[in-house]
Amino acid sequence: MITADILTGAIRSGTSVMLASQGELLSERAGVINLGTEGSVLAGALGAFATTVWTGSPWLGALAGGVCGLLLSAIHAFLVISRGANQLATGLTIMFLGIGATSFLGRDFVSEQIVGFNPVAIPVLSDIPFLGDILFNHDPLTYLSVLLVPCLWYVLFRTRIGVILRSAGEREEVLFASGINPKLVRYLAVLAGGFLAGVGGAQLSLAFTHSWVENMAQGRGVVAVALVIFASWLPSRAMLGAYLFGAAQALQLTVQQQGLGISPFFLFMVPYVLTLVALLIVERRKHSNTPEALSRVLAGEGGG
Amino acid sequence: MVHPDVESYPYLLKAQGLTKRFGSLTANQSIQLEVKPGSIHAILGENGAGKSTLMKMLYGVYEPDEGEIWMDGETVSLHPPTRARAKGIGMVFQDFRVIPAMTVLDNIALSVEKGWRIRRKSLRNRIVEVSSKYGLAVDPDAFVWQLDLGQRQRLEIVKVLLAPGTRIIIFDEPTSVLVPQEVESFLQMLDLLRRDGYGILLITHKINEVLACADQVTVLRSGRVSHQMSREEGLDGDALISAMLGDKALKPVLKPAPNSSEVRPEVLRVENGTIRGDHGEEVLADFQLSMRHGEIVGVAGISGSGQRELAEALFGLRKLASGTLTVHGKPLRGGDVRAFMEAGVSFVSEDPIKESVIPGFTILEHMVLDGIPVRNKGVGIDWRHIRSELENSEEAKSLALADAGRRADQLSGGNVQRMVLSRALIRKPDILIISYPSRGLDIGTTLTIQQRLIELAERGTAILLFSEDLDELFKLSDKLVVLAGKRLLGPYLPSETDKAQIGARMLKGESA
Repeated sequence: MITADILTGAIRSGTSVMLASQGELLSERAGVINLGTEGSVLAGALGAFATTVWTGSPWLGALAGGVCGLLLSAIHAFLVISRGANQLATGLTIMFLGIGATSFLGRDFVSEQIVGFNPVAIPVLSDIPFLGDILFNHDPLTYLSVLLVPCLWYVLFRTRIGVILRSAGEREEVLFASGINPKLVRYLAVLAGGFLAGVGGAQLSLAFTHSWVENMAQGRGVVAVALVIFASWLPSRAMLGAYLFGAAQALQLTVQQQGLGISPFFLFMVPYVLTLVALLIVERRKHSNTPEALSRVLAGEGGG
Repeated sequence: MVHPDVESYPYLLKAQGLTKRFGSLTANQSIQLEVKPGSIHAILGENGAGKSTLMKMLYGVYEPDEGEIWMDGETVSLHPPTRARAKGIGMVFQDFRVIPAMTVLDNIALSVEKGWRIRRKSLRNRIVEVSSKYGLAVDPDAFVWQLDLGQRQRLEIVKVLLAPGTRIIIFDEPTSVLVPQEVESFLQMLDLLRRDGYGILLITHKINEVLACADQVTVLRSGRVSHQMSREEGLDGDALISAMLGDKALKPVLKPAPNSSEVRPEVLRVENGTIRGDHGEEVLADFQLSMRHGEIVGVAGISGSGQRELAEALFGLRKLASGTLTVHGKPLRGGDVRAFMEAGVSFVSEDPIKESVIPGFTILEHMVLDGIPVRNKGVGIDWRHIRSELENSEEAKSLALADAGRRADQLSGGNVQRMVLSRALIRKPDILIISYPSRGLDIGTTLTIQQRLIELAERGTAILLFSEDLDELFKLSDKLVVLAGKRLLGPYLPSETDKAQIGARMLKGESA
């Protein structure tokens, strides 16, 4: 049953990364790379946890988590889009701001207990042997996050909104010439990205661990940023990558529980190494998917 | 205020006294023109004559400082472009406003659709309808990065035609990106648009096109209208040239008659050469090429027939997949550019702005980077000395090179071309590989460059000239080769063939 445990764990532990990566994908498709995603995940985790403690409702908590993630990303959006600050430097700073601020504000919540979200087995489907438990026995946020992926794909590639968003990430002058303000588009994309990262954080604290620990994201937001790039900015691939990371996490936990005498520090490393290896294997495509505006950022031209 | 023409509006757009100043520079002074329905109005002028400023005022990018624009019997303000578009003015830019990473359909949807939905089916039908009506073949599902320049232009035109209410279409130097065969069908398309009542503004510096299609011509010189005439009054090419250039006398390019009795030494030879493209595919197979001292060899061919690969192979940027290449009788291996340079080969690439220019560097720094001889001063370079040497050099003077201290990214296309060319010439090369020397340049500069090439050949440089302009090839070349169907055909003597024959070989290869 170890395989089943790991696969279930892959989804449970990967969902927060997945939500964060879908959010980052939106932002990057619009031409803004947001390394502050890690901060948004943490802000979301704490905001959701605190709200759930106060109100008892995990749904309000998840919403609050999204809003907290959005607020932190708003700082990034303002500095980068309105003030033309360097995206990479700003993102890193916001990441550390998020880590510091949540550790400070979250001191009192470390010992709190909540009910949060618990797995909801889907009738009939969850009775399928083996697969039922892996796929159909999860918390509500996880189900929603799975539905989100095709929706995002549809919006990005099948609607005019998607065309506009992608144009902002490719050539803003073309968008501008169509009478649309590219800065506004970017703002919305970054804020939406921050919201999703915050909800990802909420899943982490409300559904996965049911607790708040300082710096509990452990680089999930950063992994999300890397995943987006390796996923060639495609929602489905980012999802796959997130679950792969989740599987590595689950594997690491399982191995620890089995007590095989492997150094825990080595095990902590495993998910990141596996992610790197997966990224290495990903095919090199003839035509790069990199949004043009992003490649300018990555090449060091900085501003928003 | 009632305009005298208010009864009938025999025009779609009428501009009076348009003036635009940038600081102390007056880019346009009291321009007057009319665009009539079902008619082509050409705006002719050299680079810097004020054509683009005028177009940008008519497309709403700039607000005129003085003057007024009339449409539908009333004065209108076209600024910003969204307002111009709402009035039915569309523009096909020279640097296309398209997004390479998206499909043709998505690009069109961006500017044509409203709301959040894309009605893909109806939009696709409209695209197909418009493109078959005007002969604008473009695949709605292709990604723009897969399209060549001609196809991208067709996409831009379809976009403008599908925008609701378009009545006036401004074309900015449309044929500069087209190969000769495409120019023909482009002009046919313009004619179809004219028949359907569109008012067309054609910005160009090519007199042939104006003579071929325009109903009215406005010639600009130094920001003013220097001449206006219409087809009914008769269009006269010579009058247009003198209106365009003013007092600047144009010396015709003269090529001395070849001295056939003299056998010149061979300087470059390729035997059984085969060249592969970027993805390992064969681009040219088993070709022979020979260049002799002081000879201009013209290379004709539809774009993408292996021109870039051949030029790169002869400068050592690309290895021959098989075969031998000898320069001055000495075999050279591809991949070692330094050896080619030392053997006296110089190269002007087909896209100098992309491949030969470092944006933040000055002209002088480019010259030094490329290895013009420098004198040291202490441990550094004696910049003042090279600068004066460069400025006094015959090459820089005859090409009217811009100030050596100017940054390359602030130069116009013509000035970049001058810089790249003078850099190639300053080395006094034995062999010059030059691609599209006159692409995008005005007549004056083109003639200067052509004259320089002939003088260079007279002094013994062997020149391999790639060009898409058959007139230019026939005017300059001692012999012609044609690239078609992975083969290098020829050589042909210009005196024994004609443009029709060469054109047929470009299209059909050897069988023609």
